[in-house]
Amino acid sequence: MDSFVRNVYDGLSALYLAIAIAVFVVVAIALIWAVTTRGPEREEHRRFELVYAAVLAAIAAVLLVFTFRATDRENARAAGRVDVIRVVAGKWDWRFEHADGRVETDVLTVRAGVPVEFRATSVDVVHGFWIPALKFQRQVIPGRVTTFRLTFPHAGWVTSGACSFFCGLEHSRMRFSVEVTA
Amino acid sequence: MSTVLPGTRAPLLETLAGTDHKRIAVSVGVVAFTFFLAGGVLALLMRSELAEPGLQIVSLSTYNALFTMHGSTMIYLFVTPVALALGLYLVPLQVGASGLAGARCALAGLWLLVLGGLTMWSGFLVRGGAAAATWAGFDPLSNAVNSPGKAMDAWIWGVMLASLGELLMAGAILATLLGRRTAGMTMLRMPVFCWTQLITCLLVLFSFPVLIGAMTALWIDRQWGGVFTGPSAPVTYQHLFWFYGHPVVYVMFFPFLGAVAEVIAVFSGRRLFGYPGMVLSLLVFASLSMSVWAHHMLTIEGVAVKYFALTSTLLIVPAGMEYLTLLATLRGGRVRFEVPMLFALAFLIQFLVGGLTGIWVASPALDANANNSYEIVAHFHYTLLAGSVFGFFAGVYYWWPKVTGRLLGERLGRLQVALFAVGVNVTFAPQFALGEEGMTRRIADYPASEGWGTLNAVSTAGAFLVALSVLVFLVNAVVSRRVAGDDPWGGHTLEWATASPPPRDNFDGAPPPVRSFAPLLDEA
Repeated sequence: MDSFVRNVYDGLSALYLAIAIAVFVVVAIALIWAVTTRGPEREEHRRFELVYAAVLAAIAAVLLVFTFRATDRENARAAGRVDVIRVVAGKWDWRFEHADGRVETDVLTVRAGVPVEFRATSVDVVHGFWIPALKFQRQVIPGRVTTFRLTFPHAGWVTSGACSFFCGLEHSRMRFSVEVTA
Repeated sequence: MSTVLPGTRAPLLETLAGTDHKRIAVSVGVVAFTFFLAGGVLALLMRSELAEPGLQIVSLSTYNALFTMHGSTMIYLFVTPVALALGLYLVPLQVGASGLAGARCALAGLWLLVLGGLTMWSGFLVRGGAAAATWAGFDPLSNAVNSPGKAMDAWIWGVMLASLGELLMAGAILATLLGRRTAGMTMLRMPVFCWTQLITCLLVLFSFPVLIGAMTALWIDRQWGGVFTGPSAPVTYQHLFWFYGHPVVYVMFFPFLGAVAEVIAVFSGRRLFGYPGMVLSLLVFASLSMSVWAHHMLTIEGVAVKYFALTSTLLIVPAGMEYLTLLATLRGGRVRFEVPMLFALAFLIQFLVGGLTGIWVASPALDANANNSYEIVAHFHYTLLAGSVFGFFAGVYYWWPKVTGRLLGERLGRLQVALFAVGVNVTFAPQFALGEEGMTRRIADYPASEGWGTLNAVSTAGAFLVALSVLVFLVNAVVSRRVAGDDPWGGHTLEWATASPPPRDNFDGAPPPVRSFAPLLDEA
């Protein structure tokens, strides 16, 4: 089973968002309650503080468990066929070299459903490979090959990618389009 | 003994070279605030350019210099030094000392800050414009091949000099906290603001030398090469930089948290709730903050992302403890809604947004989208501007009468809070959506086809509201003349037990006896 990164992100972000909104609402209500009503003027309340700290630690533990699982799913490498694409980033263009010798510039054509293994490097400065619709980015570092796998959902899907790591003058123009074929 | 009265002009030599910690602190504060205004102008230029797609106002190269100098100015030249300026002024008073230990160090720090700031900004005079390699100066973008020219060198020297100055200031504050406390003030009777300064100074001493070293290495690499070479160099640079770059985030937070805690206790008319827990959680906070730096590097293959996700997410515990302390103080107090308190309450809500989104970006799978997007921009502006700067203004309104002998106007203050709070939320809330939709940071232009124009226009409008709120503050500072008296708020700590402004040696005679962290409440 191949991990479709977007699904991992959607699941995890729903959990984080729900907890964040709940905490925000609780604190906001507590703040309004605290300034509008008056309670006993205690100097401290050891037992409450300890229990509360334990609750905070438990929340952190829950978030970490789900985050670690998501990280593992993202990095999972299923056995089986993959399409390998070499990515060469350079100021300020993206070059995609396919296994069959095709070379594309600023356009990335991939097959739907087949995991694509990207082997990315840079010829000058650090760049960032980012496809927002897949919720995925990696720094692309000169002198190193950064490897990651993505699966694209269905034929006809069109989106765009961008350089996310500031790389100089025309950083804002260093974008590419993504086309998914059958 | 000379008492500096409000409105009287200090002799020039005393301003330039005096060792009175109060005057040094005010000078650092004025210098830093001037850089805040300058950095703010750069932000307005950036927001104006981004209001609609296409390039209207500045070129790509100018924009790149604008955001680099905006970030560098705000972090190296405003928030960090102004956080230390609060400490330089208040720490000797709060611990009942007649002056600063190592006042000459602090004075040297002031002048290194001025020199560093001018050096960094001198880049605008160089052909090709100021440095444009981000506030982090990432290698290899910042090396001699990719960033030729003197502006980059000026930036490096600016960072080195200003940071060295800040290091000296922090050393002086720390020495004062450790060595010049008045009789009876044990460590656990220090006001909570002093504790926030203590851990701030520790973080400065641990992390700033690494930055100065990294900048030295970068400069040597630019002149002669041979330092950042080979495939590991870009990641090595990022490790070195963020080893400074994360602790500094807390340097830019703790002192303002301390100011907010003092304000909340005083304007609730009671002692701070849970002081021992607060001190303990500050220490935990500080120690964790030394081990989270590579959460800025979660999108690099091979970084130990789980470790940094763990340490970063654990910050929930001390941060949550601080919220408990502050909310429980409010709950058990009789709350007065004067301007310092309004800033403090806004801080609580807005910093919460920054904190909760911080937990979000500490998760590698979520950061894989948020990193270097406008979500990050929104996140750290909620912590720094909507958080720390609100805490800063809470402190400014609270301690202004101590420093000047005059009170800032309440009505203008309320107007400032309202404009500022609306402004920051209108500016930065839309940026969460922009980041989620895929807008990268550090771009002057974005494709019209993406449909980001409306949210960007809203964000730009918000930035001008923020600017208006700062103008209101400047007007308030100029027109307000109401005489404060020594202790207008009913303060808890020793700085309120002396004249406003305090005499040259801070206290006429011995400070009041200290039997707790809120000594002025003990007397009653």
